[in-house]
Amino acid sequence: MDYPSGLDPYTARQHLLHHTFSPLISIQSSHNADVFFQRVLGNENISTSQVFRPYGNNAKYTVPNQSFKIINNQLITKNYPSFPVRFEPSLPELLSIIHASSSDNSNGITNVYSNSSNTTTASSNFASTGMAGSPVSSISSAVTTVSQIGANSSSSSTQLRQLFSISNLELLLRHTAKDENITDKGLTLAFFNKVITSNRIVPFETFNHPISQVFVIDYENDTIESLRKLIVEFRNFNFPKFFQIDDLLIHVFVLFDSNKVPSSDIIAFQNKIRSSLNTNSTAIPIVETEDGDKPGNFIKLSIIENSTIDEDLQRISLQESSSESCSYLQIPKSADSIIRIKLYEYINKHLIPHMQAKIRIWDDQMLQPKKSITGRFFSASRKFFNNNNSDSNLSNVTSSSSTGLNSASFNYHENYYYKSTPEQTIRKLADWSLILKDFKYAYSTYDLIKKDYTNDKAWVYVASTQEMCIVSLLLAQTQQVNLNPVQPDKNTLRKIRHDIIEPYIDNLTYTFKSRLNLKTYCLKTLVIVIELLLCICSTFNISWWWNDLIEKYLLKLVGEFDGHLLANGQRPQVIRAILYARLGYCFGKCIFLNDDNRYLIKFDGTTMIHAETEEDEKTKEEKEEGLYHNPYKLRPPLNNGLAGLMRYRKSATWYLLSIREWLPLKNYKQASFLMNNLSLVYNIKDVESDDWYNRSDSLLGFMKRYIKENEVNEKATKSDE
Amino acid sequence: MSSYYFSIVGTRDNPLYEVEFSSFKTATTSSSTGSSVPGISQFPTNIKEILPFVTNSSLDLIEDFQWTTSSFNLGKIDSFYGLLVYGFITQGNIKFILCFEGSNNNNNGSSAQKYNENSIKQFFVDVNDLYVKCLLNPFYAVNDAITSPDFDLKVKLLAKKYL
Repeated sequence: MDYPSGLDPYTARQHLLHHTFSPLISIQSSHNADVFFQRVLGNENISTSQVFRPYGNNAKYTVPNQSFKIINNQLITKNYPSFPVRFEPSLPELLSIIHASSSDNSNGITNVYSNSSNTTTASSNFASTGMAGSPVSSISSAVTTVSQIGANSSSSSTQLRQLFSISNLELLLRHTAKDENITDKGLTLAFFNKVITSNRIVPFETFNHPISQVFVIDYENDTIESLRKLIVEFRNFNFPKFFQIDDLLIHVFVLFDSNKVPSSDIIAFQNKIRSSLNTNSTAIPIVETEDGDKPGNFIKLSIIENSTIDEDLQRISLQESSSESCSYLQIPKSADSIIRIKLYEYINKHLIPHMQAKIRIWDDQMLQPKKSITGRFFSASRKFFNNNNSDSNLSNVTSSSSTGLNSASFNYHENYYYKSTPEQTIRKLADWSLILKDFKYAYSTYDLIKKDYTNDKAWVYVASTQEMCIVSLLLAQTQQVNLNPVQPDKNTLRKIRHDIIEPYIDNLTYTFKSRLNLKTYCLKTLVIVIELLLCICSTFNISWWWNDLIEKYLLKLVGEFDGHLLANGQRPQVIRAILYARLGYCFGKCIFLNDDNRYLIKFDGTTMIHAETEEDEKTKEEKEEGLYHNPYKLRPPLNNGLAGLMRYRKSATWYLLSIREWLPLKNYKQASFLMNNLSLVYNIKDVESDDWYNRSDSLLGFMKRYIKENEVNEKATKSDE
Repeated sequence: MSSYYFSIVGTRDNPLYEVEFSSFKTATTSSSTGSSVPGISQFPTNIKEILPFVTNSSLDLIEDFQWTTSSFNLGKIDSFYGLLVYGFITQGNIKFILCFEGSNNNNNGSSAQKYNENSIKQFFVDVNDLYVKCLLNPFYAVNDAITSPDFDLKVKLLAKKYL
């Protein structure tokens, strides 16, 4: 029986892998490629990166029989049905957007949604970088202006910024909750997605560092020379010092019309690219259809994929101001299928092998020497005998070379390791192997490099690595290899909980909150860890072991969000309602029964758990024979065998508190969704029965009457119309 | 002066008796300021409306906890939404539940808490005596609401004595 209804933690886990731990591919298109797509799609406001963006999610936009082959470091091959990637604008643009918004937000949290002047500046910024889709006059000029910003940004980005604005999140969720079609599950998922989705480039984790840079050009109008110019300009960009451009896979997509251009020409062109620019390319033949006006020939795609909180708010305010709905994209069927096939080819033939090769090289050159006896000896001797150059570390990081023998190559002033240091590379190795779903290897790597960060007192790296230790460990535990997972034994559970999760969470909370004043990073960690713990509970049926920890973390989240929003004069209603509902869900799923006794759970959802059991046939027969029957004898309740093994009543109380948050917002739809999750404990349909919870001064009685009144009013207004 | 909510819950999760009151202990000091009437509970509305539900939700924990101890007094079983919940279970599976706000004015920490726990235990034991007397009444059936004014008065006197 599915009670209570709520977001399945495995869905959350999948979204985590798709939206956060997936390769980021940055796209840069020539002006001609943009024009090409605008012509094919018949839409003047579209840019190439917007077209590719939805297709990154190849779990949603599949090709027939797709399977992604990944070979891990132990040379074990595994096939996965999907391998989503994230398409984002090119790195210079990402950096410039971050820079622009950071200067916007420098004096506290600005309210993009309500502050119109702020919105226009931010959106014009987007437009100039090609995001909003207005035809960019010339990419090269955009890049040069951007590179100027990039040059300045290296000095101004020393101060790390919050991952997201809590007020904006509340604002966005309020807007989302008003949507007619969104369910309670959808809202929880929206909250989860927004917290985990980010394209912020930070030194201490490399998930948002692009793995591949794709240049999109139009065969007919672009030449090798213009492509070379694009690449050279890109390479000359002043990248942050922690970003290693050598790891980037440069690739070219060549767009052409297969009706006009023979394929031999394209092959020759691709060969020329390979020989003169040493870059691989993928040709994408797209036919401009003549009968494109028929609605059956088009496929509707949502362009909202992997959008961050700020992007969403911007889109909403733009939609409100221009009344033009632009959240969908119409694409011809032929183009749709060819893009899917070519992207599948690109990922399988170029991206995954590139990542595998890099991982193998790093493993050989960086990780194995560190693990070996000599490596350990050197690091120990380095720690104890080589501490005389501490001043030079502070002043000049670039001089600390990539030999790896210098002590602390950490830049304390700006909080990063230089790109070629083993510390930065091994972190990248761990991140990439996590992306390739080798969670155990990733965990051991994180665990290893964590010690180095601690020695260097690189706190932000330590905290982020601790987070990833927990996440990779839980991901490894919840990876369903076979259908009958073996429950981890008690010692393992004890180790995971007491030696890893609890101390690491405490430690990273302290680092993010007190040392760095970056509360939102630790909120993100908590949100992720809670969902993964719920996963592990449902896989192995061990909620007795984790439940109190999940409750503790959820309450901590409530406290943090409350504290922040109340300080800013806002009542944090939507976030709080979502978290309370999650508490209700977590208790509702809490069943302390082993598998053999599961048959005791026999509620069908129509009766309440403490209702009396029916008289069975035998007692009825006895009554007929005229034997003495004691009418006062108590019959056992339905949940007799389960006393103390469920938490339904507790769950119901949390749901009640959640509903209480929705009522002042007049969101009766969400309230009635949650109402269904009370049905096992309280009679939710009947308002007039004389049960104790229907009293007008008790919360449930009050809410029932309120909701009913509203229903009557709604009906009345409808009939008036 | 902390406020208390006491209820007796039957075997069908139905409340048999409930009462709100506040402590008389510190009332002498606060009554001089004239801020509140001693004995009358001071729960804010947002807490007051959820008290029966907090009590109900703690039944889950009582039913879990009852197997771990041999005594009928279960002590502190839950802390929910800033409320402390103490429980007691009778031989007939009737539960006594006392909720109150975790007060910060206990300056001398654990000793005060210990004292508090002992007095709560005494309160429960004496209420149990009262309940058994109530049960002895041939016109009273298990799981009926307790409406006797005498019972009510005696419980309040016990509250005044212990809490």
